Amino acid sequence: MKVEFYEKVFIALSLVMLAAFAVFLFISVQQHGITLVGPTQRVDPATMLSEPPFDDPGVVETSDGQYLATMIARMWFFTPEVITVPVGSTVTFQVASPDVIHGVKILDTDVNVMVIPGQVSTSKHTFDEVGEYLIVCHEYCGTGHQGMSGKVVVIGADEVDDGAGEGADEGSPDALLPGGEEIAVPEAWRSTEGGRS
Amino acid sequence: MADNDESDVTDVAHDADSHETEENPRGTLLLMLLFLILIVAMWGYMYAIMIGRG
Amino acid sequence: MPESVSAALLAPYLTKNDVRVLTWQIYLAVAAFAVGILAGLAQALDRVMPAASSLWTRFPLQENYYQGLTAHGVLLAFVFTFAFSNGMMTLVAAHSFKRRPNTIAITGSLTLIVVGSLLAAWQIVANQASVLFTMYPPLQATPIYYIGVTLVVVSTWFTALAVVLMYRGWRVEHPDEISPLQGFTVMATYVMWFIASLGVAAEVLLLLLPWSLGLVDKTDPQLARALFWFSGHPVVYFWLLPAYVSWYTMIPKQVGGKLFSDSLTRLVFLLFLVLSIPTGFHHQYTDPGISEALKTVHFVMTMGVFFPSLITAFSVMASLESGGRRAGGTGLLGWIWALPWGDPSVVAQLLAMLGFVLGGISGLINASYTVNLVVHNTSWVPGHFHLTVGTAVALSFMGIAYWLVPHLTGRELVSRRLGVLQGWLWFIGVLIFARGQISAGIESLPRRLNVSKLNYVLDNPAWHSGHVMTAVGGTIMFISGALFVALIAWTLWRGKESTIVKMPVVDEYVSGPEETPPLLDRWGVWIAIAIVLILIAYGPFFLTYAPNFVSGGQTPW
Repeated sequence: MKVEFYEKVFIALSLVMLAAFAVFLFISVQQHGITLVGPTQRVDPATMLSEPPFDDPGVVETSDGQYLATMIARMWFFTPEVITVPVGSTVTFQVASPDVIHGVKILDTDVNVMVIPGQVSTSKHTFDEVGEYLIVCHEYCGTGHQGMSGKVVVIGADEVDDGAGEGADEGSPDALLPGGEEIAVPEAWRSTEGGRS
Repeated sequence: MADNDESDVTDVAHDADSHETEENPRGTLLLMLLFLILIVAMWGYMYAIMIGRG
Repeated sequence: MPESVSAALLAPYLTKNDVRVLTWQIYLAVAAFAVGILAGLAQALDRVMPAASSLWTRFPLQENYYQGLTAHGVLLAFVFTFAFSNGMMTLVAAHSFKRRPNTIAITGSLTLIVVGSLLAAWQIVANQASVLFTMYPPLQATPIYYIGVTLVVVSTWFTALAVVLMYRGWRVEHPDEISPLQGFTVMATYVMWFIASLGVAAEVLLLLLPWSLGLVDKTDPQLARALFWFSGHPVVYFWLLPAYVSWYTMIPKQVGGKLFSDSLTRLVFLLFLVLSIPTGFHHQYTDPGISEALKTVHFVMTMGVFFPSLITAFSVMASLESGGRRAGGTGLLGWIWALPWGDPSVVAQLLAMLGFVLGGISGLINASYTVNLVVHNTSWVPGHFHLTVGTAVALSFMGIAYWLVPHLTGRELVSRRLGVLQGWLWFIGVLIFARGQISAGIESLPRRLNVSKLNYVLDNPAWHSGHVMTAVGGTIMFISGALFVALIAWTLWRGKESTIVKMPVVDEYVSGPEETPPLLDRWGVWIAIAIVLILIAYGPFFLTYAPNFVSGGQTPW
């Protein structure tokens, strides 16, 4: 097969470019510790809210500077909605859903996971800067999807008091939006059993 | 083509080797190189964002 | 329609009924396009109109935003694309092999896609299927909806059958010849898609339908996603390859140029056959239920499948250059201006190619493993795909329609100038739209979002300017699409009758079929390679994944 010279040049350069991309990505994983989520544990959406760990969502300090944030993503709010940690903390997020597929993206971080009923999504980030980091749901989860958000509040070392390492849950299970407005989530939509009636 | 010296509109050299040129896509190679550069630039930009947020 | 002699009808191997059946696929495509872009206009306006606006009461299919978004995705990405391909590709194969397509196959294809589209549309209009194009469980639509979608997919199987039968008939009569290039490329497209579609077929028939019928209580959302994306990545090539057929084998004729290489063209289509499918996990990099190791394998395969598109960029542009130089273009880039910018069919496709430059790059970025973490499920993603399926494919299809409809019906296109304008409007519109979506997406604006009802981040300037650009660009795209529909309708109604427009077929090569090795004209070995790669990419997952049937149906709309 005759492949003209110019095309050969282009093909060679393209292959080098694609290979270079692969190498840079390998570096991002090895050197920077940026990884993709993988299988950890499974949960039963029907019972997860009454079994550990999701029966007690919130943030706990597991060792010095290391935190574990246990979060529930459901229609249409996160529990807890606000997570407060001191600057420099490494937070491991474990998130699960008792209803439909949700997404979790934490702005200004690389945390970006799908929350799929039956699976626990685990990811990690070290918060090196003080500030507020919005958490958004980025997968369509029903007509309230555009109201589903939370935040990680990272406070300076000098602000650390008994408010640090806590998850604030600003609503009852029948949910408050971040602005404080109550929303009514119909019972049927929070059911995880049965097919269509 | 025997009338190269009469063509004042088209490039004389072009007439002489038009068959060659058709098979040597020089403009294409230039644009494809620019395309590869654009890919590298955009990819690199997004890669830098990812590293910066990590 | 009144009788009008057309170039298609003049072909001795096509009957009036054959032409009518294929023409109706194109009519369905245009009709689905018209309704789909109207739904899309609502999404564009949603970015700048307040939630409380009375506009929404007057907008059809806006009982809720997500119902409209489902209509937009299904009508455009399933019905418009599939119907157009069914009609166009069958015709191309018939002309290429000079054989009559099987009547049962083409009539079956048309019937299935019409019935399937109507069933799916009915359920969407009734707000019983606001599950979006991806229909991820536990979101649950009705059985009728799932059956409708299935019939739309099966219609493509009937077209595949028609194509394969034409190929086999030709091959029996020409056992030692290289098959005609256009027929070959159509065959490669449909063989690839048939294998690819088995994933979503399994998802619907084994998971979604029994679950929605109440035969099983619970389903497995992670497994459903894996089956969906088994087909969900190659579907983009099913959308794209008809445009490539035009770019490789028709556009050179339309610009007076040569096809660069017959063998390279065949190799590109065969590479798509083997590499389109074993890549689906790059849509699932953020899924918890799939291991990093498998995601890495799919990443490598995805870098592989980008390669034939890179070759295509070079080859197609080289063909354009040969035509532009022959038309008098001089210097390094003068050939660009010498191309036929007054031909609406060519203009639409040239602009589609330009749109694809940006669309392809953004797709490469999406697919780049951890870089995906920056963009996944942000508005970057629809920015990307309105440049690819929304421009490279859709605008090419519009450009193809500008000769195809006259070819089939004998009606002359009523206005070349308006056709050219329509192409430019779409291109300008999508650039603005995509700029808005991509810039806001980099700032983490989620996709699939009823923006007018957003109650967080109400003060981010990047999001605001993104919303405005998306609205403006989307509205321009709507105007362009409406102009396209109007031109086609007007042509059918008032176009000069009995105009003969031939299908463009490239007939000059730099490196022609006489140099093509027989290996690039075979099927068995390439299908075998495709299957082996699928087993490598998906075997480990499906063999080791423990089913997790935990989810009942949800209908949160």
